[in-house]
Amino acid sequence: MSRSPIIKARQASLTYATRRGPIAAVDSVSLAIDLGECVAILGRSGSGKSTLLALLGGLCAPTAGEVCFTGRPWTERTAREVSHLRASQVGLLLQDGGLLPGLRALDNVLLPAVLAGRPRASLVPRAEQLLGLVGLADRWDAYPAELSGGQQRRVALARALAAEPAVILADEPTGDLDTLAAGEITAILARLRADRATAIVIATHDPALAAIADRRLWMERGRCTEASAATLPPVSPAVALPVSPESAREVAFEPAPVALVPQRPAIGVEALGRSWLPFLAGLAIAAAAVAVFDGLVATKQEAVVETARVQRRLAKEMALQDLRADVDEVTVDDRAEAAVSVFLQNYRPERPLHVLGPTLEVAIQRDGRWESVSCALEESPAGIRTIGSDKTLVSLGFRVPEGSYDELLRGYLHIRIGAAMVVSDRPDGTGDLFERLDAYYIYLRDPRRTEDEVRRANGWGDKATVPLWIAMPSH
Amino acid sequence: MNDRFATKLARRNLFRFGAAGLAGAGVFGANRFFAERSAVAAAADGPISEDARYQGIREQLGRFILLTPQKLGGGTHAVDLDAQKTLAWISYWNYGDSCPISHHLAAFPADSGDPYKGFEFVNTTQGGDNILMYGLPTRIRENGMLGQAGQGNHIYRVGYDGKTGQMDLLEDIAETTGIGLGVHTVPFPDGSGFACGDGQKDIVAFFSRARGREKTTVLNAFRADWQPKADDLGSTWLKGGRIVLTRLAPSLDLGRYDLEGTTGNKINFEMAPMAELRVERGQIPGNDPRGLTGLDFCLHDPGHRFSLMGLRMCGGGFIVDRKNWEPVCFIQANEGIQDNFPLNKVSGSPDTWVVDLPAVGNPIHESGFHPNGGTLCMMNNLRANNVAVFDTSNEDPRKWKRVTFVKDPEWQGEFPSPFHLNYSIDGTKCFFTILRPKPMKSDVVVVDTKTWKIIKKFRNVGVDAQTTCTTYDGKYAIVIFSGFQRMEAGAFVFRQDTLEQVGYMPNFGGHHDCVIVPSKVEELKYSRSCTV
Repeated sequence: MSRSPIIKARQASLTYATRRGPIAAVDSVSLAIDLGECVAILGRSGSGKSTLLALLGGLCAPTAGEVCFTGRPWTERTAREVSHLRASQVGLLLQDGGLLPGLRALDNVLLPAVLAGRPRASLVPRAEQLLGLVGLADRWDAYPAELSGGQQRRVALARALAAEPAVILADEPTGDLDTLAAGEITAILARLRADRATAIVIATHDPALAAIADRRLWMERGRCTEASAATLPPVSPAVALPVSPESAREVAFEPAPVALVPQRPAIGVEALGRSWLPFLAGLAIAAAAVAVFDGLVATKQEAVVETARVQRRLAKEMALQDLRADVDEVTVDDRAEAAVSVFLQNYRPERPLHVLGPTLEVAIQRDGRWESVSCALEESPAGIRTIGSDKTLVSLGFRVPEGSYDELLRGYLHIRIGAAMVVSDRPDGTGDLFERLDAYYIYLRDPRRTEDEVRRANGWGDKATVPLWIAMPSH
Repeated sequence: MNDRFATKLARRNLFRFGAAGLAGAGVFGANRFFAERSAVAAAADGPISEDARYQGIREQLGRFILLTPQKLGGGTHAVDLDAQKTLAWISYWNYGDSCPISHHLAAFPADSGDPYKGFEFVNTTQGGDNILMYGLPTRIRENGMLGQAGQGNHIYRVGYDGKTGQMDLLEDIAETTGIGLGVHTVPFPDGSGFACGDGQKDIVAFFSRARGREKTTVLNAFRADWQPKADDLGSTWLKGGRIVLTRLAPSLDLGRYDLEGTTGNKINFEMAPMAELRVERGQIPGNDPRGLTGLDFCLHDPGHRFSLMGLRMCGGGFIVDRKNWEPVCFIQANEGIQDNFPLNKVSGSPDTWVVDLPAVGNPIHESGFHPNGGTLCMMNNLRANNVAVFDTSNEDPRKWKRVTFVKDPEWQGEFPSPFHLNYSIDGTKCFFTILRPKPMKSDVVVVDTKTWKIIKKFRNVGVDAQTTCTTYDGKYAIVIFSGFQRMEAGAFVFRQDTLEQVGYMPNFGGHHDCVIVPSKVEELKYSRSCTV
């Protein structure tokens, strides 16, 4: 019966680039795996068996050549398509089993099918059947840690079969198992091979396992050849002591790839370059990133602080540099009732300026001390006032007190007018506020004394001007 | 390299990273472009403006001595700018003055050429009642300290002796001559004498230069009186009038002038800066406020021939020819009013000249000749705030003309007001203090003397910025600020050439004037001879 290959590799290669040169893990391998065929790939450790399995299963792409699955190269398929095929058509049996430690045996078996989108409930009988197939029907609820190595490998095999794949790729399925456990796995695979429903590719160096295969291939230095009887190890391994350590190594392991540049192990600068420089480079990059981030944060913080500082400065400047306040006029009537007007003026009217207040107080000087005088604003406080380029007047009245007072200038009371106000650039008084406290000093002529009396008291001429009030200079 | 990898790199990553890089470069370029544009636009739109930075001086200012009177401190101190320490000081209390308000001063060049070895300076004190202006709750009058010894208007000549390291009062020129004046003190450009003014008396006097224990003599003295057209005090100057300038003579009885102390005061308080309008508002007491001209300063042209006697209330000043002591003309700074008026001599016994002004738009104040003598600046204040610039290059002052005004959009209303001035040593810049009423801090502006445009503003320099002075090596400019009412005081220093801020020096007592002691006569024209 003519069979069409389910997997076909044509001159497939996979080369790793290293600092010291390329390593050809798989080198120009051409082979075909038919449906139902069982192929064993033998070779020493490092010969490229696992890499070849990965290529065949579409786990990685060849760097040269191609690998076709069901007649079409893996690389021409979309990622979604590859994932679907791997989940539904390819059963993978990894070296260490690859069971998820948090899932029970049954759940591990179900996992590929669930991931493939099948309803879980319908899969349970199949999973139980598979567990039965591998002799673990009673251990369906065991976690991997509760199973022996051989049992774990059997569960893994059941998981590989769960999706009823067209091909099983088994990578060292009996590796590191005792003879009995290896025999169990071998037996199961042999039964599968007998069914001829699934292609089986086994990478192994177990001659007993290889013996169940239809064909046996030999890998060496990434190249794959049909195995001859001479290259195959005996089915019953004879353990013999090596003649020397070197000879033992030659038997056990693949020699180094010929393309690698020979280099002796070094621990100085080169070792540093190999091990520490990447770390230091990463550290430097991370530090630079942190520094840049820190710098950006600092810049932002400085901007915020600077903005606040500028706003405070502007508020202070507005209150002290733009707002002028001083005594505008003082009047006194016949009953010695005085009225003082204080003006507020914005020297920079293009910048809004709002004032809460001012509250005014009056004090006269007696015996060198300032004594408060009862006074009242002539109008109720208007709340926040908007100050423009024109004078805004605030008046208060008080009765000129009787009795003695300090006469720095004969016939004049020495009066201090205090003004307290809060300045804001916003009409609602929010934002940066600045409290300004002013004191204006004036001499106020005693209304109970005539101008002539004042002239005589001061020794002024008969026609000398006798001001009602004398302002202190503004500077 | 794998072909697929290369293709993927080229088509995706390279394009993506390349596009990101280009976008970043574009943002950077645009940011720089607009930043440069805004800087250019700012420079084109107006002067550079920067806030004063409150920091101490961290560099040596050179081997100069800065003289600063402590207005309410009653004396004067000399600061060694090289060491930034007080070199010596004097207090007039110790010489029997019961109310010394150390006001203005000017120093003569050191005869040795080295001020550190010794120099002399002249220092005026304000009239006695002025102590009452500042809101001090003082009992100085009640205690009798404003009597004969405390009337002020002294003109002290003081010597500093580098050997003893002390200052000593050499002469009270007011006592010697009988002329007591309390305001600006301005040496002649050749150092052979000096002038003093007083705006309460409306008198300017010219004195000889005495040395050591010699006695000073009066070279000439003038008084200016105002005869207003209007009857009411409020229109006394606005509606024009006549200025009568009289040459003063010593009293025949005394054999000296009879103008000591407060004698001759028309008003009892000084017209503090920007207080001229208080006179017409009737807020300054005195025997004759309506006759006031405000003649409180005199300065000299660098050519050492003419002097300007400034009349604050009349918006201009007389030009006097010191060659023959004859007044030449009256120049007016007010915008829109004739700039040069002829004089009419109406009497020879005593010599009397008159000039009729149709109106006075606004008061004037501090003024200054450019060191090359080609221009004169004069402040227009209160009703107008600008600086009139006169072309004074003609040998005949009667042909001096106003040519332009320095203006600033901020100079509106009564304040802020251009105040004192001084020129850079190279003459390319003029420095103005801009007075704001307390608690506002005053500014300093720098004007280009070619274009008469403001090129820089130092804002918030200090409360009550007063006079400026410059180091004669052309490096530094110093602005004194005082806070007369017991507020902050200091000296603000910036570079004359680069206009960079240098910092602040402390000083004490509230200064109104400052001068750097010249080491030679040629430096006087950069000192207090030509500017106030």
